Amino acid sequence: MEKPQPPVDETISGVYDPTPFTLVAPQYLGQAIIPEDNPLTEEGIELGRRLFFDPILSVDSTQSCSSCHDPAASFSDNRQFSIGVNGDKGLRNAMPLVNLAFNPNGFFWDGRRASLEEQALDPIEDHLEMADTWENVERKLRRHPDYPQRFKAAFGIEQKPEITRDLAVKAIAQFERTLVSANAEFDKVFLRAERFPTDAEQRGKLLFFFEPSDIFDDHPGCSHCHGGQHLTDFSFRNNGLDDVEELENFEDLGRGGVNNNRFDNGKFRVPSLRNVELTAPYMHDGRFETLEEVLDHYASGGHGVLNEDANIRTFPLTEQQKLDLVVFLKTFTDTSFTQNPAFQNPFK
Amino acid sequence: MIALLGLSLTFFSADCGGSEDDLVDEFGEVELNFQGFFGADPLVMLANEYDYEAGMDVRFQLFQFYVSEINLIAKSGEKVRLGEIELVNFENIQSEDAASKGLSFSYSNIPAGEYRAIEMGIGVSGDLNEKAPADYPVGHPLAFQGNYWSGLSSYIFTKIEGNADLNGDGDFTEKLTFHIGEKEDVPLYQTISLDYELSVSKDQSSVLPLSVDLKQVISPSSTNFLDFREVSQDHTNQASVYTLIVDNLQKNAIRVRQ
Repeated sequence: MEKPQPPVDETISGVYDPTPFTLVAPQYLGQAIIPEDNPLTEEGIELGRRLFFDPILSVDSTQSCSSCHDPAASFSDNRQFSIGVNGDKGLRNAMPLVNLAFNPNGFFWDGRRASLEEQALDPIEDHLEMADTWENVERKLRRHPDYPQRFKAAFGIEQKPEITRDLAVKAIAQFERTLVSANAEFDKVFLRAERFPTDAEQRGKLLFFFEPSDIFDDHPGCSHCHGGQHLTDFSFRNNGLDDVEELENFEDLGRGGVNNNRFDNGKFRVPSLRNVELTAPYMHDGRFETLEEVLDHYASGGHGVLNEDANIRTFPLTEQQKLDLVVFLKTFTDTSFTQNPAFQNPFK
Repeated sequence: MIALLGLSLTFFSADCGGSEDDLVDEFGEVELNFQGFFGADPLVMLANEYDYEAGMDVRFQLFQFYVSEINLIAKSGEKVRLGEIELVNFENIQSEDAASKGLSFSYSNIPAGEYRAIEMGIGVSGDLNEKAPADYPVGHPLAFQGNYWSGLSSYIFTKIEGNADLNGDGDFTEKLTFHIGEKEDVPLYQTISLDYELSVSKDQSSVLPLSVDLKQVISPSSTNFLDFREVSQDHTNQASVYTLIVDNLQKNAIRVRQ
């Protein structure tokens, strides 16, 4: 007769005394979106940072979120398509993670997840990414020597079985909301007037921002979609990449694949251009390796597909203008963001 | 006791020389409904093509405009504020069914009584235009970054985007982009008033039906229209273009729907 096992003590030691965290950002970035049921705390953010950089979330413990979202690349990975645990390529370019707390309009290139919490659920079980299951990840976290205390410190749970995917993604979302970039030369020069722009920066700015221009035609008009302090309007657009006869013929339906609206086929998130210098290659499919290639694409004016954005129109682009625009685009680089100690791997 | 107090207030109002035109201390809901048209046809983005002037055809992707300081005018003359600002945006009207439903804005706690008109500013009023998207919470009509010119510190009051077929050959190759906002020397905000008899009753919803005719905005007559063979974009830098759009939107395009 088998001897009865003593009950396993699942109680978590440690304390729950969370410290509220105030997100510091310039007023011009607007109001951060922080869900009432997931307020920022120092303990939650630190737990989220650890989960973000910990390969424990992948099936073979080889990949973490940071494998495809490297701080040095503004939390992207400089590959056309990221490589998952099984060596498979993902389907889209890894998006940079910057100023996410201010994004009101869904996450991923197609906006299929409404919140950062929902977004963080997906990569764990995507067979092209971390290829694990949340059931397994929860088991790993519950039996880990350190995480249970950190979950308790962040969320006040008492028992290890209370460690769930919902709390894990809340913590990751908290960390991601702290990823604020607002100290680029663009901020210093054009938003805070801490110094005068160089001639090239000023020329590039006049090419980028449409509104102050008195030029009637032939303007790049980047700011139609990438205007404002976030350098995006957070919309989804067909930016003229692909020439298709019918809207159903896009290889990647993008936004239309989410909402089943054919007029949204081929539309993708307008990404923020903050740190764009560091996030090559570009577009949802990483088809352009350089900023110059991106500018050449936009100057070509698209293909005239039915739902192609009306602001995609041809414009002349001299080599000097291209240089000036690239100089201006590089003012969006914020190394105090990419090198911020609070955003780095805590396991190194 | 509360019921008695309410009764006494009603009597007080009547005793003090009030007329049947006076608003009463009861409240209902008002729904402002905008239906878009292009001439006699429903305005449908992307899916529909429209005959235009001089043998051209046109198709639209976006038509939107701000309205500010929306007030009902009671028969007694009293003004009742419905809303401070709304974005009337037809971008997602992509079927005739959606067009027939139109765009609705609802306002609650509107004093019951008889009203004779609605007034509203077309554009963003001066006070509101001094602010920026960062000043507003997500979801507010003025929070959307894409409707703001940060370089000019102004909202874009009106956007019209689409494509034109310049010669009727079926190819809509000419892209159209008209963005109208205030610049320092170009004040464009104007208040309009539309007569409409509206009765608001306690706990009832009353609809105020409006139509917006985009054809009237860009082509008020066959001799006065935006000729897309000559101009396909403007960002408030060609007076003849933005004046035509603004004047016609404010004076001719918005009507009470019969």
